Amino acid sequence: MTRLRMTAPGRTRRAPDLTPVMDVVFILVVFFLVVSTFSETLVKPMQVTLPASGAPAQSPAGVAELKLTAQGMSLNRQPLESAGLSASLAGLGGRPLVIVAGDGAPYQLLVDALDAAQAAGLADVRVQTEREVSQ
Amino acid sequence: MSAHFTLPRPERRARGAAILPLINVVFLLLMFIVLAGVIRSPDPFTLTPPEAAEGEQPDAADPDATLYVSRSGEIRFRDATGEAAAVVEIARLAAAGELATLTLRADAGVPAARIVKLVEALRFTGVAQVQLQAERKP
Repeated sequence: MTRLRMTAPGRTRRAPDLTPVMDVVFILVVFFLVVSTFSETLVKPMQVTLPASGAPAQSPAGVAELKLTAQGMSLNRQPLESAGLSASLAGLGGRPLVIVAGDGAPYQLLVDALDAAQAAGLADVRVQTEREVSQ
Repeated sequence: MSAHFTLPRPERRARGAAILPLINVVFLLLMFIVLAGVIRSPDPFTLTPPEAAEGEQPDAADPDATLYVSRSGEIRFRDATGEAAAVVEIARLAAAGELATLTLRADAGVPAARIVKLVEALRFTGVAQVQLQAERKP
């Protein structure tokens, strides 16, 4: 019995065309570049003192008051440079701190103050607005 | 008469440029962007949050639990626009127990007193915690 042998057709090895892959990958790169953000977000808990109706505006003794205004900040009515804020707050020795957001102070200043208080390790930090002092 | 010799031209094979290294680089770029970047839902308006050095990592920035305040004082919470509508919506959700922590994402240039007053108002809505969102200082 004779056996017929068929030879396989001469196969030429050709690299697959990668152009469509490149197209897709480029589109993916552009998509992710546009959609994603590279900045890291943080959150800070915030405690606010509620205005007590009819209560006097003065703060109780032993509570440090950091006042923020458009011109800068002051700690217990002493003007303060923002560079020395962390050191001054660390010098409070854990006393409660009230941050008073005055007129014109930007939100960034408030976050800076909260930041410094957190860095100084103050546990009791509250925020309030300026109260109208009615005598 | 001199014999004219013509050398046969070397057979040129049409070969595509080697794009395999290019693909490698682009894939690496893609991996880098996917890993380094975070996909967040876009803000309803352009705002630049304040920068902070200290803070906690948010579990997940849920846009449905975020109150946005633009530089001009525009307020947006979900579909509610304006402070009154936003506070009412937050109070409704807090009463239903669907909102425990509210994230405040405000522009760095908003007056601080406005933010404090807003948080004071939010305290009455029954939200357990209000947290401020900032970006890490570079």
